[in-house]
Amino acid sequence: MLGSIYAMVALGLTLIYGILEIPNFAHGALYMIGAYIAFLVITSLGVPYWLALILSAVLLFFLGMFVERFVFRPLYVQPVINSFIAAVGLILILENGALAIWGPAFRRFPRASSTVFHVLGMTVTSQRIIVILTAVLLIIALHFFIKRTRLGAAIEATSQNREGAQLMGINTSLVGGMTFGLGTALAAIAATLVAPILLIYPTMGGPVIGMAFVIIILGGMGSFFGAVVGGYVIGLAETLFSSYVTTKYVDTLIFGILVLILAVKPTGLFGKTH
Amino acid sequence: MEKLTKTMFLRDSNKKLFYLFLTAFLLAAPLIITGKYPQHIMVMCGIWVIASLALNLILGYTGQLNLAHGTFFGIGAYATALLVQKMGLSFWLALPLGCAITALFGFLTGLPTLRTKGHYFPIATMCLGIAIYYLIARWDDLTGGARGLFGLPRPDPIPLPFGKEISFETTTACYYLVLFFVFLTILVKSRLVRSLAGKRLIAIRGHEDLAQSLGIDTMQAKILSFTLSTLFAGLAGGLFSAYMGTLMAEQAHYLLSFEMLIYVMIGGIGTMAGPVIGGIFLPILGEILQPLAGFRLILFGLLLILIIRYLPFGIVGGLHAATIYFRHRGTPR
Repeated sequence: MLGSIYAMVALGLTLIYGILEIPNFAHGALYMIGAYIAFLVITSLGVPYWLALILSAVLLFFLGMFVERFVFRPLYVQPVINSFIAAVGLILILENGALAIWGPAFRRFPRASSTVFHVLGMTVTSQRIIVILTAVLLIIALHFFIKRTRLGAAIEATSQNREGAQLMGINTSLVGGMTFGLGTALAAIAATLVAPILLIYPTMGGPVIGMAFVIIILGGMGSFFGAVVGGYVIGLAETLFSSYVTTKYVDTLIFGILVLILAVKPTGLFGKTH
Repeated sequence: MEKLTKTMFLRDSNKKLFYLFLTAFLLAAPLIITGKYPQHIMVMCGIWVIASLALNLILGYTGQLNLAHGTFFGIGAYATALLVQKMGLSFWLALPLGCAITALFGFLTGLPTLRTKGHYFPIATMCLGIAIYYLIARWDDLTGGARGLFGLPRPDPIPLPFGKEISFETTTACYYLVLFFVFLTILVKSRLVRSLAGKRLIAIRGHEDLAQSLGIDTMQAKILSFTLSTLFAGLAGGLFSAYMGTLMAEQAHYLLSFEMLIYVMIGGIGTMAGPVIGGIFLPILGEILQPLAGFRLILFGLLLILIIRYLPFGIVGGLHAATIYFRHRGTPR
């Protein structure tokens, strides 16, 4: 379950990485905004869960395009360090914006359905099954979208070689914006899926984005397959570690291991060497 | 940027006179500004200036974006506070020890993280920051966990001949203490930047592989810069803990690193005056905007994005560009 969420967030991040050439630090903040938008439309407009999921994804798609156009695109010509700093600025705006609008309190998200299943002696709520199934379907759909459609091919071409793609007549600016939007929408879907199980709060993106970084580094930056496998591996590892060893130092341990992996093999386990 | 830093330093006697006046003003400031609250802000500004100067060493001069700077500030603060509180050491012993511990930590963590290049270094340091933050926030026995530490004493009085002493109970005394360390930091940093080692750092910022091919031991230079930068972050943290008397895990949070980043960026990255200007004006601006609460940081975030786009070298860079513009106005290009 956790693995599915991580895989989706990491997948969005990896898509955006292909365009920006830098990991987008603000991805976690956008993830949080996605959860809040779904929360808002469900509680105040009373729309059903699935519609809220789609609404939040669509809105975040456009927010992602907006961010790419006005924050990151002007910085392509500058040193990469500046894009990082701009992302930091974006985090401050989004997190404090959410804080100002919704307050620091933890919010409980209404559930899509609360049926409980008993499988092989385990108790599983239907929300968890929804998360897992939706994630798997989306990941497969995304894979076919990138491999089989014209737009998908354009995305792949742009992330492989921006100038080359431009020479082939691809509108790389538009593709860049679309990809950023797509990655952000994925984060919004992941956030809305997991929100009924966990709680939502303005800094909820922090731990998730940290994990997503771990994953795309483990899986190799920009690698589709690596992001999915890494997501499930890390999700499983975290669950096992916190249920059998300790929950207290799990974050310290995971991030500590990551620093070491980075030092030894920065291109990750599945990454191509530059 | 190369030209910028050069002309910032090598200016005529006018500049010296200006610095002399500035120093005199800073020394006399508590006599003019006597309110307790403004003086408190002045002390805090001094602490932020030290921390931002330290960050600028690794970020501005060496070109490595360290997102765990606030964490090292926190380590210095906790190390100093714990040495005073749990080991019963005098503050004057605890502060250098705290700085040494922070620097040692910086050195040890720098060894693996500085091996990474390009965009991996910010990620590695951010992960480091998160890891240490959770360690501090959850290690209840040592750090007090989420509750933090409180009741930390102010620095012990320094005895003077004739039975007098310098006590640090007043805000004014703390101001002079912090001011002393600000000057010390500026002195050490300007000596370093102008030395051969400083030139090596700037070469790394320009192009790391090229610097290496010229025979510079880039790893050694980066470690030096990183360790010194964490040393002064620890110094700022130690002063903070003794001045405030309380510590929370928030003092090691990555948001703190972001705030320092803002001070450096808006003041002017890679300049000597930049972090000083940023570290003085932004906290004051923050205090003025206090009624806006959360919107303060939204504004800072917006400012950061705009500065990056339109004034990549911050206020100092902007001023410099303006002087060049006005000096050469009218002269044919």
